[in-house]
Amino acid sequence: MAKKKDVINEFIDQKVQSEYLEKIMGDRFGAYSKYIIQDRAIPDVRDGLKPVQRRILYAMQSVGMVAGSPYKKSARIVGEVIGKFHPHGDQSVYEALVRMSQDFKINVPLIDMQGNNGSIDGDGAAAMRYTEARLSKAAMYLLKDMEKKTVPFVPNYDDSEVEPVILPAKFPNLLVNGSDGIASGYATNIPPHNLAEAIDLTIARIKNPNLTYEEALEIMPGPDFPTGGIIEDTEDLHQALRTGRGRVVIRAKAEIIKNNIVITEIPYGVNKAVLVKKIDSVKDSKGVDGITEIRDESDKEGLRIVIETKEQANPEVILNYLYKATDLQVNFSYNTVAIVDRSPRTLGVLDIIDAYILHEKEVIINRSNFEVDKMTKRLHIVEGFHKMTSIINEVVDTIKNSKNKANAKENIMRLFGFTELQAEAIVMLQLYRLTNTDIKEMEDEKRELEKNIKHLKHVLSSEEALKNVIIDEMSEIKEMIPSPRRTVIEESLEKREINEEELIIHEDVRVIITKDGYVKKMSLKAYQASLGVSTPGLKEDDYIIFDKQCNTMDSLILCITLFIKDNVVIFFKTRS
Amino acid sequence: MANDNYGASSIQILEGLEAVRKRPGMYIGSTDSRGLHQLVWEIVDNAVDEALAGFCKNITVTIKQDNSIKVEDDGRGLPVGPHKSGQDVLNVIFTVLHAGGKFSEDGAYKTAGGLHGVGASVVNALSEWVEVKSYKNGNVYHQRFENGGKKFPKEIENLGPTRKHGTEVWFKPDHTIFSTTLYNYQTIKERLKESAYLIKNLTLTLIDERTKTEDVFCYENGISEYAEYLCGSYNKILEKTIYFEQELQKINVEFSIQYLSNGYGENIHSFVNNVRTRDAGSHEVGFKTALTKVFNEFAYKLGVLKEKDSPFEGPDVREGLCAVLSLKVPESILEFEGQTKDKLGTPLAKPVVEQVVTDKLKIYFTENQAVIQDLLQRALQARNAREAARKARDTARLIKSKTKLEQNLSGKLSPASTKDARINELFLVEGDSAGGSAKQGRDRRFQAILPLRGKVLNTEKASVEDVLKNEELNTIIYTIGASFGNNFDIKKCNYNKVIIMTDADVDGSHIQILLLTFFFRYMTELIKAGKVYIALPPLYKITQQGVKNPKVLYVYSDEEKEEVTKDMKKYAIQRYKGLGEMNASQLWETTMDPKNRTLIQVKIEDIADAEQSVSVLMGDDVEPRKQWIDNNVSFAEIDDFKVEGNE
Repeated sequence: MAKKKDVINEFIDQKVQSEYLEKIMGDRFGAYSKYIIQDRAIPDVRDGLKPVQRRILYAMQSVGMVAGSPYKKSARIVGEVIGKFHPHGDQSVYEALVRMSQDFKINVPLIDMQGNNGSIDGDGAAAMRYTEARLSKAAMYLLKDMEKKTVPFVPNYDDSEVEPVILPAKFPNLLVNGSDGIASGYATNIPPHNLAEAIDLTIARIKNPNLTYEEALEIMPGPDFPTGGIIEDTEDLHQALRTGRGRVVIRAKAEIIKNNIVITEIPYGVNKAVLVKKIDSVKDSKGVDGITEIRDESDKEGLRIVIETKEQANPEVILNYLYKATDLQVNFSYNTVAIVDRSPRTLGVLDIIDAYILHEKEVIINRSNFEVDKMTKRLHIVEGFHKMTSIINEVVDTIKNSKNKANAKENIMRLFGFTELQAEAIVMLQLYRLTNTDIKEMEDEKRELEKNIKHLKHVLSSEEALKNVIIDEMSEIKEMIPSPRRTVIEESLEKREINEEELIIHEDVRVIITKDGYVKKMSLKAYQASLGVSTPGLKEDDYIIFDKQCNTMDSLILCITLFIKDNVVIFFKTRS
Repeated sequence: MANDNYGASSIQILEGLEAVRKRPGMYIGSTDSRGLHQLVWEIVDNAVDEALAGFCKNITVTIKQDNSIKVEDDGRGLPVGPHKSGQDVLNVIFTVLHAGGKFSEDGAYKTAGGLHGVGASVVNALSEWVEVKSYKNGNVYHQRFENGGKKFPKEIENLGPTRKHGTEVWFKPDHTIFSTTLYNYQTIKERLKESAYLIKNLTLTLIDERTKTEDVFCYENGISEYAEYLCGSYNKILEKTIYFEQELQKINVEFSIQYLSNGYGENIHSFVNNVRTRDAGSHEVGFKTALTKVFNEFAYKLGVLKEKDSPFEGPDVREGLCAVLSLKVPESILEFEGQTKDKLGTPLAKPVVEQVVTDKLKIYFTENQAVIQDLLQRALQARNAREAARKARDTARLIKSKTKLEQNLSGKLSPASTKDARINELFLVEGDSAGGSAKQGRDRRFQAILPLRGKVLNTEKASVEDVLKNEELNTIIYTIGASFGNNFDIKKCNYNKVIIMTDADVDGSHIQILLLTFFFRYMTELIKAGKVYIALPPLYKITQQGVKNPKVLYVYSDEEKEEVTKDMKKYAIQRYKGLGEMNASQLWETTMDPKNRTLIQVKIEDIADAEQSVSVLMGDDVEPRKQWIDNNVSFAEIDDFKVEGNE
């Protein structure tokens, strides 16, 4: 047991701090929730990206997997992202990559993926060793001008790289592509909106910062889902756009062709395979009568689900039932939460637009400053060249008589008054630049630079000019990425409700009413069978006061002593 | 039909009296207070039978000063005259066992509580004396029996003419038979009240001459009022007590139903021929079956229960029920189970009651939908409560059966080589990758390693079943070996320290609090005993540079880093984000070696605060958590995540 004693002795002077559970829970949870909210599940209001998405886009750009370049294996991208910026699981990164490429999930895919990138049937993407990817054209607009000191950079997790905290985002990506995520205490669910509408709304708001929600709704009347469908224009929707909380009803687009219901668009977020299965189970459970077959006829032409119905059945009625009983109609619940100044906020559409405009102004100002700097430097050099051309022979002589490069620079600076920068450029100048045409070009460049600098300075000093730059650039994107609206907004879906009367089958029935107020409807067959038998179910001391053959479409007007009229329609569904 | 001619010929002689005195228990159950009162019931029941037959309106019971009892009624009066046995019929009634008018339907009574024809004679047999007066046929007849009915004049005395009719029986129980001869006013009062409820408009008067107390009972609405009385002072649900009466197959069924708004359980009083059937019987079975059947029928019809739902069970629909069921069963089919008439045996009573109650309730509920809707909602609540209770019971059972958890550890645990619970340590390690280095780096003599895959189940949101189904937690429970919940026994704990070792990042923090939640909910004692620790891996490795023998230092906090690097000219810093980044030897040196490591011992300062923070931070409800985050998390502050615990 000596050994054990040793072990115990080893324990004596160990460092043990104690902490209370209450504090540990609070500290740890606080750190965790803060991280999850800020850095994992909730997108930034300005570029609409979660950190993992931003890192993917940035990593791809920095290794040249840009629009138009050849596709590269997804595994390389994932490795790049994990290794440089995002030390987490590879699957979660790949999933994020795939989602950004799915045209049924987001309006403007940011990733152009080659290979199976999943489907609306819920099929997963092929493994990342199979698929290849590059940035899409739209993604390039999110990343544009990043090299021009437009956005701040921070060191990565091991201080070996830097990464942007935000992308320049030349279009309001949060609205356009939407987002969803669950953090801790906070969650977000933002639908996609139409790119052109979002840009128009941004421009309208830039032009008129007092734009009202009514006016905003005229420009962007609601979400626009990549899967199309029909949404209802309700007060709920307006409220959702105004406050960030609310819901909108999305309905599949269906057509009735002869006796068939043909569905060509399904609600956003609905898994088609599951939907078809559900409709099939409705057929089998006889929730509604009359469906004979359901076929998923989707192919390269697009989505197409055909529901065949019996000849006698009313497909309108069946469709109406299916809207209620299946995901042919769903509710989308807005929970517009995004990170603003590092904190989660629930935002209305205009709040998002305003945050975006603020960001864009900052980006343009940063870029203009960067360019003015660069151009001023160039102008200075060009001015040096210009001055030199007039005294070219003296300059050449001076250089010829100098000991070395450094001495040459010194000499021309001393003798002709060039600055260090200009002197350096002059001594490095290639001789062909002294030809006539080149000298003329230099003069043109000088004029051009002067003009541009003047313009940029104007942009930097005039709010109006700044706004115009944003408007021009956004208008260009609107043209470059055509985005017709796919989701139809209808005044009211309730108008399509089927009157209950339409559900009634026309037939003759026997109606019996008793003194105590019992009404019984029997089929003629059942009535004939009961003839001669004492009326079953008749209460003690009750007796029949009415016994006639009627049609189910007849209206029965019953007069009782207390009320004058009570219009009773005998429904098909009435059980006897 | 009841025969008006209740005369001498109605009485048949069956047996003598001596047996009663020898074995009183056989006839009245016992010779204690209960048996003593049974004598009163026997006489009163005879009077009530007379009322039931429709001949009697008033019954008066008087407790005399000497604890003798006088029972008067205004019925037809006991018959007097020669009986075919040769004796006077009144004497026969009081001295011969099984002499009665209730043996056949065409006798004097159609239905009656008195059955065996022993009532009067048994009372006589067990009394010091009995005085009987019969007001009949315009005369008053009197007879006095003494000494247990052994001594009485042959001739009935005629006291003269009268206009009254009825019977008066005055008896004094024999103190040599009964252990007590003191009558209880309250007991008799309750019983008389019961009888008053059962027969509408019958007036029952109880007088206690000992205390000069008097009570009069008479109820117009019979058992409806009885059901309401059963509700006591609680709020009644039904505006109008349900009451129906119907005769079917010669059985007359009367029932009344009321519900308590906040009552638990059920209160059904059932009677057969005005005798309380305390042990229920076939009629109550029929009543309950009908009630459940009708409730379920309406529940499905009105959509309170969906097609897939299982039907209500009896206790659901009887929650808060106060019901009175009263049957009049003809003698020919009347059967009781057992000696005292406490349990009805008549088989026909079940289907008859079931049908009557079903028919009547169906019509009533059809015409009063609001009533049934209300009752169904209550049944639903009762059912939910019952299911919750059952679940709790099942859970308790599950816990019991799980105390000996299956030994499938899926080979994940690397146990320590010794089994000394005083020193052994269990490391719960985040992720298999770190688990590997922990296994290689440990001191196998006393350190056991259990790697956990990914995030642990949040036990605050999970049910006990889910926790037990969870492989990770199940393994922890078994490995620690001290069971969990109420069965947790700290003495059986296999380890002196349970050390949570996670990465120094936010996900590591999350795993720590998930595990602490589990220990707090399922092994609170383990925390209280100071056996739960959190390992503190280093944040940085600092390697001195530019010197011959570079020093390598591990630091555990930013402050420490500042302190250490202050005197160094040139050094390299490696930041540890995960345990997996360390080699096995580094992990041992920095985090596991008792000589070097720093541990955080988890304690509970205030159990209520701990409870509060666990339920707010980890519980089901999002809103308080959001509130907590808004109040406690400073989003604006830019900080690098660091491990707390350094003062």
